[in-house]
Amino acid sequence: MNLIPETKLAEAVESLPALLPIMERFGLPLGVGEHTIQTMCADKGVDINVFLFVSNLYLSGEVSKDIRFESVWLPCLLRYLQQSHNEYLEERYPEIKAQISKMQALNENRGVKMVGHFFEEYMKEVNEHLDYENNTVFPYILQLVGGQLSGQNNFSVDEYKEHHDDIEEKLADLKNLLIRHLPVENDGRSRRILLEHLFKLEFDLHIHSMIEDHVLIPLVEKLENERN
Amino acid sequence: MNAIDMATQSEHILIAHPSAIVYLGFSSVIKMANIKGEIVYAYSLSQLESRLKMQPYSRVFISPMLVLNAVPVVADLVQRFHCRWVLLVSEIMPRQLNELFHERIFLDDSVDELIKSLNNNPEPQQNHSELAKQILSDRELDVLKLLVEGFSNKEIADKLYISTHTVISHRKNIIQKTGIKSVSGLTIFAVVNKLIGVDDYFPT
Repeated sequence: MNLIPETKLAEAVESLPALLPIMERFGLPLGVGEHTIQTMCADKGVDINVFLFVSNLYLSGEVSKDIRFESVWLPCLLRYLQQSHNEYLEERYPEIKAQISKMQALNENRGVKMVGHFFEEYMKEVNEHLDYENNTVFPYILQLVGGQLSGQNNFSVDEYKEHHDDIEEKLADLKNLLIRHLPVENDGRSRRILLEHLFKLEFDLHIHSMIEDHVLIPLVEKLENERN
Repeated sequence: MNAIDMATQSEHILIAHPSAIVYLGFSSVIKMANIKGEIVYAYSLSQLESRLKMQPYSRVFISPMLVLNAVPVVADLVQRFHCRWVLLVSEIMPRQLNELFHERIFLDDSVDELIKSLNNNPEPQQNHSELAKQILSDRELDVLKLLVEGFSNKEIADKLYISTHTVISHRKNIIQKTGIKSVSGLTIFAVVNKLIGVDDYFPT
């Protein structure tokens, strides 16, 4: 199903349940009634181009070549990304942490005990990355969009890219350890649930990285060139 | 006199460790594991040898501290006195020591894990290391252990008398065979496969 402005939201959600967290992050509430994507976005002050871009990205897993991303879309996109951050920190990560504890209660293996610590390390890196985005990258981008010439710039594209490589790598390692290397005792079910959470998170983070790599960074470079 | 009296299933156990506290603690755990029999103490290598000469034992638990400076002496004892020789480990051990003994027990394991290890047949413990040895070559295992101990590529190269380029090549193979990229991930792999012991880096 391809989403267009005239698509009824109720039908869209029925066919594509993956839209639910996306709607939440954009601030589009359920109880959608007869709303189309267009009317709902207009109602809630959400840029429909950004909504369609993000939704189609989730559904296809690719950035469409014919989309030309406009810099005016940036404030809405950044708000979306910030809402994703909140969701990770307030919902997803605590969920995963709790699931790890459950698993550890049922498995005495030393390697399994270390998973908790491994995840803590991973969370530290994630927090660093999200802080960097919230406090350095996003304000900088908004300044560029606003045309402000600011001397303060701690933003480094290379550092930015390095962050999410590290994070994705650790998550992949954790999955691998759970699937291949860590022996199971009585924790089969909680391990399965944990892995389901991790797969879901991994996909989400992957889309997040794609937005950063294929949209944010090129736009920043373009805006910097225009400014100079 | 039999080392294991089959009728009453009782064993003759020897604990060779310089610390009396470890001996007392470990004896308690052995009793908690419902292992019946006598437990004898030796605090030095010479005491160990005289005890071994006096009667057969079913299991000897020995501290690395007694082995490290006297490897040939201990290797000789292991050859002469046949029983299960178990190394009591609490830190990262050079592989040469591991290969002298039939099994290892990690002193920083929980009491439940210790009891399990004591009641296990020798095979399961060895299986884990065997598995890792099947996946990774000897050299790759050497590199992996130094890597998780925190050494850089250059330092690993120096220790193994190979080039940095070769170390990197081994690392690539390790990643490809295990599917794990990060050093902390590889550390968990090493612990699961009993290639290293858990130390202060990883509080549980």
